[in-house]
Amino acid sequence: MVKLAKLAKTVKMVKMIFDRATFHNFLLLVSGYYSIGWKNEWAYKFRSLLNAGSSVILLLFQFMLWSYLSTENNKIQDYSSYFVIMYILNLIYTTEADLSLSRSIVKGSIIHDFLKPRNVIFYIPWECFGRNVARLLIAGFPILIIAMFFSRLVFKFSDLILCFPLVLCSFVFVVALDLIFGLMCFYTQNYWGVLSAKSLVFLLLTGRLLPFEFYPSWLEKVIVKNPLAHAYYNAANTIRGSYSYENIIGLYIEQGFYTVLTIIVLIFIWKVSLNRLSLHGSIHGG
Amino acid sequence: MLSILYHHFLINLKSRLIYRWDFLLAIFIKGLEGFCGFIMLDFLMSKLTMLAGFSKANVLLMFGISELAFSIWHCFFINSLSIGNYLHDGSMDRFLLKPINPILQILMDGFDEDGWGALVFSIIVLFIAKQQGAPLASFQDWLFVLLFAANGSLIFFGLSLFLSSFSFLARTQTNLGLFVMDLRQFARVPISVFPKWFQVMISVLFPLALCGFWPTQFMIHYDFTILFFIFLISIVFTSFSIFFFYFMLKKHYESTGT
Repeated sequence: MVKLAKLAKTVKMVKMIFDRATFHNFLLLVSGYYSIGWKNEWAYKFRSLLNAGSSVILLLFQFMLWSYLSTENNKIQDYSSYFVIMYILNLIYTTEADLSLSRSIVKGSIIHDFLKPRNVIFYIPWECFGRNVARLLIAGFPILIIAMFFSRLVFKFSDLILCFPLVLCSFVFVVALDLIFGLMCFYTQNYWGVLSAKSLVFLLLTGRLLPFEFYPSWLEKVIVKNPLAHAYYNAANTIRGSYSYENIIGLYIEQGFYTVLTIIVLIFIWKVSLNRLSLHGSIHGG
Repeated sequence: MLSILYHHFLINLKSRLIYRWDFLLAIFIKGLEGFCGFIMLDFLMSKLTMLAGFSKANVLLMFGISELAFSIWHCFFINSLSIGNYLHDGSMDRFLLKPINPILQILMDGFDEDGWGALVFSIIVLFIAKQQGAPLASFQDWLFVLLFAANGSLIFFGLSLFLSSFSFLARTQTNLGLFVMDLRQFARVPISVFPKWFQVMISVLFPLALCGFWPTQFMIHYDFTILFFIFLISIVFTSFSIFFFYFMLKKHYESTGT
């Protein structure tokens, strides 16, 4: 009897998911969240442009350094295009979800989110998505065009299409990871140390600082398998045309697995962390 | 003045120590960040015998001196990046009402103890460089390194103050000051890898090469002309940045509520 009731409940849920009205409401909801992020970024487009300017300086540094190294040493190839792709990928993945969540935890303003009919860990990723698409338009494409002009950067359309699911999946993974780092503030009561730790993890495991080819071979073999390497290093190499179709399917599966696992961990930590929330000024009984 | 500095330092330290674990984590991580840069340089150097005519030991020396300069700046001068925030929330007035130099007050308002980790690490790098054959044999060499690190931190300060002063135009945080974090890359490698025009630019206009490259050149050759130019350019650049800050303050600052 209990089993039957459970089955009926599951069927009802599945029906609800595939119900046209529910789906329509869901679309309305996510497009609303998305447009908040999009508008927010456009409101501060000058800031995005300045950040892009800062990145141009760094890219110029990489360009000059690698051009010099490749001309001086035949064994070293020119990695300028690699760093341009890394910059674009970083623009896609950098969400500030960790900062906004941890700030609201530290300030206590997270309570406002509980008063609204929305789920914080569902709302933030969509807002970030809207913001990052706008950022890509403001700061990503101009730099990409400049880089294509100066560093003879050429992409194959098929490689970009191949990379798209990997980048999309990696975006979800990175946002989930950001939120996990943000939630750590429930335990440390401040965000500076935790966010510094996150930036260090990203610096080490993504290959943004130095391509993995320069790591010792034993370390390269291990590090190339991590999900952040899939998001950055392997995605960049896919765009540069270094991957076969067989390899890319393997990457999709691995990254999909890591993403689902991270989401499960995020939900678990979210539920556990909420127990540490203390509210002041609660309603008087009577 | 020293007493005020000391008390502000204590206030900052105590306010960070409240968040004990976060504070310790931040110090540790900042040290690891430096270590990360060192490891990457080590990986790169393992594929090369020389980098632009510099041996691995001398590249490490350059890295160590520039990191030491940067970490001193991080500990004591980083709040120069916050000028935009003070303008944005209208709290700049409180620095102008007190009978103490406003730049000093801004700096004292936010010493950053996280930089200690990087400071310790950069000293470790210098010892590693010495082990590998960098010219750090005598006590005098170490004194020069300390002098160059202090001088380099003033250059970073000049740069952050100059870039942050543009916030007076935007009346908010422009993020221009944050360029300093990225620009330090230029202090870590020999400038010979860059084109000539760029070498001149980072040696004179935005003298980042005076934080790592030229001090290393001095340590190798002991050429006192280099020493003279390092200090001359640093003093001129930092003075210009301070002058520029006051110029922007007088010309473009409007007090809140006026």
